[in-house]
Amino acid sequence: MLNNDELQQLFQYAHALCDNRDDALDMVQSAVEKCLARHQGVQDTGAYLRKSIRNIWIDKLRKKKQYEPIEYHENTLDISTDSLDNIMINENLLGHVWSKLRTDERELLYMWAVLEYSVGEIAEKISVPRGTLLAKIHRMRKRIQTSQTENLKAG
Amino acid sequence: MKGSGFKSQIKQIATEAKLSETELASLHTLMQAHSDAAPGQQIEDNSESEGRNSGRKAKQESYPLLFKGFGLGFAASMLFAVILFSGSLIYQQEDDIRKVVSKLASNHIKLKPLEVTTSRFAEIQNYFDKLDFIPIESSRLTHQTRGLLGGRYCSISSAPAAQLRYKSLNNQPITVYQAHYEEDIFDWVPDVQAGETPIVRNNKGLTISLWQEKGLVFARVEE
Repeated sequence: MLNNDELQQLFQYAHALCDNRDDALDMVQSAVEKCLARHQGVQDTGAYLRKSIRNIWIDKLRKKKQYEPIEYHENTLDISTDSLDNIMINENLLGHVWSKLRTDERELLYMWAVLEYSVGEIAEKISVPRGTLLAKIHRMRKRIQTSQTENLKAG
Repeated sequence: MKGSGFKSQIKQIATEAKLSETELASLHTLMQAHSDAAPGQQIEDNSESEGRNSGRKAKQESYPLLFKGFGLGFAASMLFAVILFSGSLIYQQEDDIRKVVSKLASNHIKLKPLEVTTSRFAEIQNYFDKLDFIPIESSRLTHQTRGLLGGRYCSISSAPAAQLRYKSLNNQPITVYQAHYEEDIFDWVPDVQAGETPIVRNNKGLTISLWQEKGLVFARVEE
């Protein structure tokens, strides 16, 4: 059984993935059902449910043919584990940028900021090579900076 | 706005979405329903294992027959195979029913928002124009509800379906699903026009009835 705080956190994770209330609620319900149907053998319920939610979302994207597998980048430049900490963005712009981010980017930011995982831990949790994740952070940083610059020019 | 500033900004935006009290209550109901259903499932598992044991016993008892003569042994084996085959068909069918019934009950508990809100059936028929059938009012529903509330698109066993919500005589929601009858999916659903009795099962504290009528499959879920 999950308490209200745990349910809220799962919902927020699902929402970070899909950026849609109905889809997020649907995914949480399906994941909870799946977890309860297993009866036993789930040690870390939170991690299990997040993984279920993630798989449900990937399935949904696959059905809509919107799923883009994460490509592996071995040689990445200008990246470090603290790249995320150094991002600067106008608060008003962040809301706009957030909705424009890809699913996997929002998930990454959620795990880093809300669950407070390190880049290494995130790579392990979502079974993605660390290099891929660092490349993703690099690309995301660039995109956020571009949005910031464009906004400044427009403003 | 550097360093932890970005982190707290992200934290704020990522935790803005909140479940409402109703949504939380619906999730708790779902969890409660599962924990209530679990003992029942254990009983089913036990009965299944008893069935397997008795099957094994029957097989052991049939051994002497095989030694009494080839003909008798062959007949016994064939009989055993037929019983086993029929048993597996019945078990498969019951498994199909159990899966559908469980899904329908879960969907009823979720009470997802209605896409069309109306008490007029003609409006329902106009709304569901993406289905390959026109929703109808089942003869088994008339005079048993306080009226129609609305509907939304859904699916039963991957078949596109209309999900209609009614208010019961004691003001509880009743969900009625309608899908086009497809033999390869719904061959186990009884035809009430042919005098068959609807399937009735209990799941998650709800009563679920399933039947086919006028070429459509109906499922009714209520407390």
